Amino acid sequence: MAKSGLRRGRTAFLVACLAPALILYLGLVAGPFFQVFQLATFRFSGVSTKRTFVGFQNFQDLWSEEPFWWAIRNSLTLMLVVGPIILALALALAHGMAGPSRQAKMLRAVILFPNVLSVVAVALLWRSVYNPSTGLLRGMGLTGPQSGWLGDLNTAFPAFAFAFIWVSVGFYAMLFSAALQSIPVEVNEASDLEGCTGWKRFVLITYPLLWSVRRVAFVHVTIATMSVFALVHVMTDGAPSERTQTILNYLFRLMTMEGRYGHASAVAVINIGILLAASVMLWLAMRRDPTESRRKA
Amino acid sequence: MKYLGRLFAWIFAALVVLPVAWVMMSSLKSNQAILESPWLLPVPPQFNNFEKAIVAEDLGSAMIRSVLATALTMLFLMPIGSAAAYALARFKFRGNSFLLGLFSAGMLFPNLLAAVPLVMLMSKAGWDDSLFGLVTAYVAYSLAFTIFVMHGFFSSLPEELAEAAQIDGCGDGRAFLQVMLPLAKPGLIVVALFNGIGLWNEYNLAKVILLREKTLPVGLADLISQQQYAGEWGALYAGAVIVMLPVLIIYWLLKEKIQQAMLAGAIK
Repeated sequence: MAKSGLRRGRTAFLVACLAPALILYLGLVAGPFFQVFQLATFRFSGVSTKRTFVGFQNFQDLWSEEPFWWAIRNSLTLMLVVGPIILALALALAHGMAGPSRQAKMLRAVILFPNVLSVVAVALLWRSVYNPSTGLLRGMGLTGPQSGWLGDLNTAFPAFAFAFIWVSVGFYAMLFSAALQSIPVEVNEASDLEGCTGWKRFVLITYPLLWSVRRVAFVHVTIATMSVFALVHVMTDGAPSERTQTILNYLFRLMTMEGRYGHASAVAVINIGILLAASVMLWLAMRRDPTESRRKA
Repeated sequence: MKYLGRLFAWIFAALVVLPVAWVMMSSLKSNQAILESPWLLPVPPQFNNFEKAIVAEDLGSAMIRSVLATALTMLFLMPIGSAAAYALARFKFRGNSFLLGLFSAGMLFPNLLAAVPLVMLMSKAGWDDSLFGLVTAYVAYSLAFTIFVMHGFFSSLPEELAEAAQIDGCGDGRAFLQVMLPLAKPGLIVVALFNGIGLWNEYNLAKVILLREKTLPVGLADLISQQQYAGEWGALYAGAVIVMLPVLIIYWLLKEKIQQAMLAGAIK
């Protein structure tokens, strides 16, 4: 009797603990997330309640839209090119930031700082840096193209990507520097004795040992590059001529400016598909711990 | 290797500080000084830029709304999130790991992907363009990180403590509130800090849910697109400083804790 009373009490406790979170999460996060797949097959604008089922027509429409292809191209470039650049830079930075010294702590604090800044403030900052009439770069004599770094067809995307790297790299540098600090001192001492130092040590010892954190970093940077919205929205909103368009910025435009809710949902589905495909590939590529074989031997 | 890395780190640190300091300096200058002598120190400082930003550009009311949205969200998020995390960490029941996975999966997808259905839901419920709707969405979208990290903290606490409390006659509720929750305080602080900063800076959800009302980041973003034509640079930079300064101060005071929160959210 007492035991079943306790059990009933526990069930009630669990329900009380989990219900508010579950209701909110299912209702506002998970529910809408799955609903996107259904909405992508309809044509409708948010204002009217009228919906027409169109099957895959929304996807076909997107296929022939130029801004959509720029969005895909730029987002994939961010993911496949800019993401690895961020990780490589972060790994180099991490070597200078690791350790308990005051200097290292100071560097960690400063380099992580862009991560806690409002993305809107960051966008303003970089607009100001690139501004053709008042910009910081202009003040340094780097006038750049006539229409400004962010206005020129050729320099807009690299200029934007640079700002994205600036704001993102600190987090990964932080991640890697924590991992570097966790490599046992004995490992480094032993490799010193063997005469394995510098670049050679990095390639043969440090880099393989960073396997698990590298996997985390790759997954994280993939998601981050596919999540770019506020920075591009405030910095350029896709201009000039879609050269800085990204998938989420295009989704936002379809939804709020053009009222094409079905197409916006289709873009969301495509974004989800890319993220899933990238995750599977990352998982396949980084499934194995490269130091595992050595440990067994 | 190390010295090269150190040199590189210093160069990058300078690249971080330079534009931030430049924006702060410019926020105290007149428009003319910004255009003509961008490198000179702001002497005398033009504090009326801040007055302009707050009163004339109406960032004042956006600021109040941001403070309210952040505070109200935290008020609901922290109890709801830690209760769920505790239940998942402390008790084994069917569906336990499924639920943890479901919540954690929320960190893997950008929130804008759900924007269309979310906005439809909000307008159907009459919650669009209201602080209530925004706070509800904020709580829901912050649960993933909160539950994930708090679950880690609760799992690291020895179970015997809760069991001992229950032998002494505490029910599950009291064991949670009076024994385990106080022990998880360091975790709570770290999670609250990180959420607080994220919510203060939040742009995406505020942009799609609110229409006429604005939070500070949305207000600043709108100001940026207007100022392109108006040329009120000083007030614009002052607006940016209003957004950045509270975060800068909190970050500088509690940087170790914030770094810890970021790592906790990524690893595991």
